[in-house]
Amino acid sequence: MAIAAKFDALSASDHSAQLRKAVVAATIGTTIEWYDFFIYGTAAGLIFGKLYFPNEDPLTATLAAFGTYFIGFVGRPIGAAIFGHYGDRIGRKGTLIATLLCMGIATFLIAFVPTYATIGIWGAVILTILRMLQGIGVGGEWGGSVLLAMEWARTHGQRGLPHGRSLACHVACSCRTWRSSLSADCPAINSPPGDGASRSLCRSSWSASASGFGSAFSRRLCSGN
Amino acid sequence: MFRQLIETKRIEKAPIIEVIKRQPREIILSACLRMAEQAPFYIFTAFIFAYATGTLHMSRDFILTSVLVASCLSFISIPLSGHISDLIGRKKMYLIGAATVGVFGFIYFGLIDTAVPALVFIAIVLSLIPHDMQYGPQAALIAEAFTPRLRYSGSSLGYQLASVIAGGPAPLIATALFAAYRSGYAIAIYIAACAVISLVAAAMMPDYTGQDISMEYDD
Repeated sequence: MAIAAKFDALSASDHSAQLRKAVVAATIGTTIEWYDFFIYGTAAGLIFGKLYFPNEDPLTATLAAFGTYFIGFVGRPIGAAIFGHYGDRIGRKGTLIATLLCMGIATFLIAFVPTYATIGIWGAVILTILRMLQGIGVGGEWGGSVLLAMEWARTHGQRGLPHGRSLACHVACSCRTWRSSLSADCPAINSPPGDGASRSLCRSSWSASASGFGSAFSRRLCSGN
Repeated sequence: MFRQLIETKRIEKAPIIEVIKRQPREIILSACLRMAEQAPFYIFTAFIFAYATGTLHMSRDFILTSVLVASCLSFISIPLSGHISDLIGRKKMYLIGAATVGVFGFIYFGLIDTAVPALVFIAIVLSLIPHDMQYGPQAALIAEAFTPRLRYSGSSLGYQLASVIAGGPAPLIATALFAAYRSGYAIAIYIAACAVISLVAAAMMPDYTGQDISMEYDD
């Protein structure tokens, strides 16, 4: 109880400043994470089939590309276990940053995977491994952003203040709505593949740098644990 | 709050194993809780494209615009549901949301199957609101159920397991159901079944709305 009392000693204005920072950091983190996770779906639908499975007919190639997409979902509980472990042992903030880096690095490297023309089927193998890494990152991210926002909000002892716990983490999660627009956008839209390879390169490196920026920004924003 | 865990020396050596041993019920309930949130979400935002363009021959751009409008509405309805759950309790809010989505599935496919653009638009724009009524309180409901020192592990496991049992297979199940019965109502029944699972899970979930969540629950 003594520690709780010490913790509560943080002035109300300091506390809401920390809460605001935590919510902003969590929101940025979540947005970037899902952007990276879904952009792969777009790329899988449009160009990965041609680049990594050129010997198959287009339908089989696209299906194979979506097979690698699905691996991302398999990675999610694994990421939950790995980052859950560290989140409870070394802290929420550090772990959240690690999940963002995991996602950012994997997305960045996907842009540089050599195609079938260069290293044959190994291109698809490396792609699958990187997709797994994306899933692991996304699997760990949710806990970090939610706990960061939630544990800074303190509904008890702060009654009447319109900043409840669930509101805090749900402002943070609202960017899930982006997900619906992105997932709607991925395989459904028939935009012409165009110069697919270079576009995927610039897109995913853009998002990777956004990830790097986001994690640095989250770190700066959130001085608490 | 994590600093408190360090200061009280409550860091677990193996939190994942510990949470599976100590709070398996909450992990399973968290995963089941998400059935009525995730499955309809993927049906309303992904499956609808195949259904409306393939079966009803509607324009893809029209459906996309409608889903985008629904998404914009979610920017208001998700935090709003979170806020209401702060006032009336997360469990109550979640139960209302799960029950609403179970009924809404039938209204949704009833309106969509008319293929009248105005009615389809209304169905899609409203479709995320029952989802948001659950998604708003969900993260807090799940995360609060776990004791602080096992919270990251437990809530992540429960939440992510749902993407394997609920989210991932939903569009596939919806496609298979439609292929077998050639009716949107078959999918509405599937949504209602998910709602029943979530209602039971939510009813069994502990509710910590407005309580101190910084102290270990098992002390």
